[in-house]
Amino acid sequence: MTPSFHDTRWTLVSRSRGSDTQAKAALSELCEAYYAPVVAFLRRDGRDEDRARELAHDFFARLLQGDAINGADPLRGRFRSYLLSAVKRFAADQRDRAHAAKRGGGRIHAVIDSDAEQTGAGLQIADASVEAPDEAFDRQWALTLLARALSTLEAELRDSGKGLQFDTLKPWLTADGDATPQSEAAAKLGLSDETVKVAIHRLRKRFRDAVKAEIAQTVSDLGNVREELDALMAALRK
Amino acid sequence: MNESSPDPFHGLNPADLMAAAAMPTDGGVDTILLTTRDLPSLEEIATAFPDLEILDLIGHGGMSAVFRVRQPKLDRVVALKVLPKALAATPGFAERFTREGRVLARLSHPNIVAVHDFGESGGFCYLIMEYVDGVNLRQAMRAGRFTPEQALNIIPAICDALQFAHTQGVLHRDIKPENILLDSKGKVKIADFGIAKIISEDAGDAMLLTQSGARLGTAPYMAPEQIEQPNSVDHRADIYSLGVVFYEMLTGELPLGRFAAPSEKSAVDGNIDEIVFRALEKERGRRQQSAGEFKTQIEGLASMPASTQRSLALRFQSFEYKSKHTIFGRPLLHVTQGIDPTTGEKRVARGFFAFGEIAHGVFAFGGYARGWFAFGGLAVGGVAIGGLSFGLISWGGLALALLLAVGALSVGPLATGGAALGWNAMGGVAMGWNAVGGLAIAQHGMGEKVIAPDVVKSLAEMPRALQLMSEVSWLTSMGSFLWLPLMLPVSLVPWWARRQLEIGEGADQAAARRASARVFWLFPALALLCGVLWWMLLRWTTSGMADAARFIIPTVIGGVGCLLFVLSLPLWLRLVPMNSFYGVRLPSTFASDERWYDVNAVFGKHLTWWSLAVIAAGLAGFYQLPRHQDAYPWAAITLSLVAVASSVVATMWWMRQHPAGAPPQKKNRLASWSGQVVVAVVIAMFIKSFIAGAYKIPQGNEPGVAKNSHWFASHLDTGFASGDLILFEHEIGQTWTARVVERQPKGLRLKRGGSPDEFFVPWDKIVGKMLFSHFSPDTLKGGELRTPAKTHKVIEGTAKALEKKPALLFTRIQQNGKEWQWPVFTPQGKPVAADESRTLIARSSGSGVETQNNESCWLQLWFEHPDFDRHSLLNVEITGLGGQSLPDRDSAIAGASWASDKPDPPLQCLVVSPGRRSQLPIAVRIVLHYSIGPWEKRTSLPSDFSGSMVFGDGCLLAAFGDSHDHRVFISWTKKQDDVLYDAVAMLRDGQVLGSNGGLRARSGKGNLVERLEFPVLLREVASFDIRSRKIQSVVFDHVAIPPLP
Repeated sequence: MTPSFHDTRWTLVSRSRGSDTQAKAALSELCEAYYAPVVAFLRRDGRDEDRARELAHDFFARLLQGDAINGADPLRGRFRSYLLSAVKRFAADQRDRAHAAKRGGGRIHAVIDSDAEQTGAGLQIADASVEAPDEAFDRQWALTLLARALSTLEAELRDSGKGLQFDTLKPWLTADGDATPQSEAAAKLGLSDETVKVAIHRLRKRFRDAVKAEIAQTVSDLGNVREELDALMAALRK
Repeated sequence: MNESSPDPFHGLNPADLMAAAAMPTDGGVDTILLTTRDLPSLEEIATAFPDLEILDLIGHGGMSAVFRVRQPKLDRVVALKVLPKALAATPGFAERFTREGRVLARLSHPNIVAVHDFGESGGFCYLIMEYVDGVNLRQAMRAGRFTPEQALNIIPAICDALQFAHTQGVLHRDIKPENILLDSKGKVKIADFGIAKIISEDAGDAMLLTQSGARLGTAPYMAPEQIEQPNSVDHRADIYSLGVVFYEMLTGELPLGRFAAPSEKSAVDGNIDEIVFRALEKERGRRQQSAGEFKTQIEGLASMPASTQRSLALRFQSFEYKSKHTIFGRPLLHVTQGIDPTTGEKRVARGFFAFGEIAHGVFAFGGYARGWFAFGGLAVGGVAIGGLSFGLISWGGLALALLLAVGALSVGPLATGGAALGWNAMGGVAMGWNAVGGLAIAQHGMGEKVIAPDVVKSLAEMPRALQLMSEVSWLTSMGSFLWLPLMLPVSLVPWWARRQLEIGEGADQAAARRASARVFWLFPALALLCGVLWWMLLRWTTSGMADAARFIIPTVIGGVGCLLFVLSLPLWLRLVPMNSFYGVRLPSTFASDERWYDVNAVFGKHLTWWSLAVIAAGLAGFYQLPRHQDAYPWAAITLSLVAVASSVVATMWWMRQHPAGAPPQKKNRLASWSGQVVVAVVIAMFIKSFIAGAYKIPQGNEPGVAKNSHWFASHLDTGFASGDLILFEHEIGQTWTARVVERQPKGLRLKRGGSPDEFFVPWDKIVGKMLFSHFSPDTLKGGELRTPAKTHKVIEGTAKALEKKPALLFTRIQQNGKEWQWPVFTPQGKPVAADESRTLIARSSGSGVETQNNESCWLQLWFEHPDFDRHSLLNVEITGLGGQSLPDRDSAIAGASWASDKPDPPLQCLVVSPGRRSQLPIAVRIVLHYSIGPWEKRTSLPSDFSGSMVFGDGCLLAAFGDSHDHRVFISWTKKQDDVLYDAVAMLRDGQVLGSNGGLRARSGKGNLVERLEFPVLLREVASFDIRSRKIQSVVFDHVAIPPLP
């Protein structure tokens, strides 16, 4: 799973500027994976669930068709920032159009739209308890990425017959091992204490690998993985 | 579409997961970060090592990179450690590398990562090592906190590896958690031995090639001398590093500056502090001087891991042990101590056997004990023994009983003790209805000072109970020793129960349980010890003062034997924990725990058996003959010294045969047999000199001693009664036999069979007493041994009581034809119970006497003399008191039948008729004619003799030959009846046969004819020995005729 031997999906996309089939395939995979943050963004942006989904579909379709969404340069940076800026533009466009449509008909209203689905940009109520769409996006991105890494790890272990290990040892992915005595886990797995320590360490290592691999898929320069990780960590803390 | 699964995070907090994922790397490369210019790429490595299949990079340190590779030829996965090219280019490095590599390759130890190969290839210096599939200690420490037990499990393995390498002359120099690997099975392996030396020799340039962080990273683990004077470093630097690692394992921190003691920062006890501080001494002379020493110290703690804490807790707190088996619903054994934490109350032991501060049970031992048998401070029960005892039978300081109370202050229907209060009381101060004692206050009292309406003079008039109590009073005072054996279970059983709890369940704990059960051998051992001590005390108290002086040395020897026994048995039973001052201290005994126990068990076993021999020698000393008084003490002391020396030699031999850590050597039969032979010889010599020996008697002068017979004689003074056959040293130096006439203070008065003279032999010439004979050679040849059914061996008369007259003890009268009835009567006419003689009388009586005259009555007279034999009772004359003859009297006389199993009972009877039923006198005069004592040999009559022979005065041989029923007979006549004649058949096969019986008759001319028969044929007889003895008489003037039943 060492990313140095494979190009990341984003690298593929960015290098080919989205034109060849391989790149297209890579992009569609990425989009599939990170669908949830887009939806989260759109929701936070003032739409309800169904509408957000609809729009997300729309957005991705355009993206995959190769519409170069203005302004975003995929060569630089990360997929996340790219996607975020793309979604922002898309959402802004969308709102303008919607508002324009609404306003279309010559009548000028300065009325608070009773339709709660569409809160105009101007009438957006800034609610401190609700997080900003950007943050929602980042946050959901991090969650999605984490979930993917975890499921990869789980699948990997179950495939190699270590499903019970995964189930028993997964609490140790986060805590420092003080919460539950390792001896219980050792007993459950039929291993010695020392062996359990080794197994836990391995699990963590693999998890880290998985997370970093996931991140690596979305960055072009491997040197940025660290930065990205920090950013995501920060996003989750907010 | 990415549908969320039920919980994609499995209940974990995503923020934490992300943080965990973001954790910094830990020494090994696990991400794609940290490339260094020195680090070769996989391609480079693959090119440089064409024979290997490079799998991946495992990790890298400052100076090297480690790859996981596969050797296709051998089809195995190994680790390839590669040193930077720049280093290899340094002049002289390659040779050094080779030299060190060879040393490292020789380090073959289960806890050291093995080096399979090393060399130079493609510009890289490399080592091919064992691939350890696991983590290093750093990673393991991060994965979770090490418990002290886990730390203590790892450290000894590291010590083993270090000790091994140090003895091979190889230092590690870079002990740190990254270099200590734990494989997936938890085994510990140390990596990178000596690498630091390879790299850092000549220091300087090579070190500069590293990353700036590499050297600093290991600095906290380096001993001070490594930093300051790196050229003079020795193995003790590794000890320092080990100490640092140990500290970090226990506390999670490095010992920097003024660091806290491990016991303050983790759950270990203070003993570990000492070990760690010592290892971290700046001055290397103050540290542990070897890894082995470090390990011993650790193992000294590790051998009592959690169980130490547990047992400490158990000792001072509370525990409870219930056995699995139950009887009638109660546990068989229930042991408790302390307070039950759930209820806050004191624990109570309830069971068949109950031990505890409060104990209820059938057998209860404890502070407050209640049960059928209770022993304790306060004992209540059926049999209660204790400081304060209440029960049916009570024994103790204050004893209250419903039946029998024994104690300092005793109260009960039967009370005995210092102060006794009861119905029947006996003691120093006795109060009751019947009292005996120093001060007796009673209705019936007896003693020194009596306050009683009825003062009793003799114990016989007191109730039977009091008589019994006085008879057994010595038992009650001796019985206070009973306390000691009872104390033993009180301390042992709770210890054993605690051990059972500590050991817990499990397969190889079954062995530990059995081992702890060995402690119960202490019970018979204590019984033996108490028996020996009590016996010695008894001998002291029952002997006179004169004797007591010569008991001193045997007592000392016996005491030494007991002491050796007490010291060696716990070692044999492996009950003594390993320590520095009690036990064997030969080299290699401290190599390991097991070794110490094994060696001491061997030593203990030998010394225990020898100590039993010493005890036996001591006890034998109580019976030593005066002639041994000088030699015996020296011999016994020598035996004790030989005992200890032999045990030590045997132990050393065993240690040689079973070297520590190596398989035992082949058993050297010669050595072990010769060892046993030496032991047997020593003990046999002692026995022969002081206890018993075998003798052969060539001549057969002594009656009762056959020629060439082999005898077994005792060399102990077990009392010399007259008639005993003894051996003595004659002036001419030979050992002769003789019989004892009398024991005198300075020696023995003896008589030899050949001559009638008696002589005196002093004690220092007395060799011993003959016990029994065996294997007379003549009996073995010539076919089967005769099995005499009713034959009588010749009985020699003894000289015990030649002057004593027979006594008339009992009489009985019965009518003709009727059976004898009880009771028997005294000669005075009073009935007696005659308990002791009753069986004898019954057996010897026959049922009754029957003659023709129904009116006759028969008087049975029982005479007693210690020297009676079958020839003794001859005739009895019965007359009236004035000597007149009794009218109408049947003149027959009946003798005893030989139904008793003792051939010569001292009590024999004759039956005579005093007259008819209607004419019985009130009393009669009895004259008894009897013969006792030694025989005088007259002459010998060969079986082919023909002719006449005179036996003695007026006694003439009549005839001899085979009778019609295949028996040999011999008969003679005599005129007077003042000498008794007897014939003894000397058979051809050497046996000596007495007669089976005979007749006496008076011929018409007034001659007496006597005839004897033997159960053999004449052809088996070689000769007859004729012997005689005097006939004596005794008169009983007034014998009352008892009433007819």
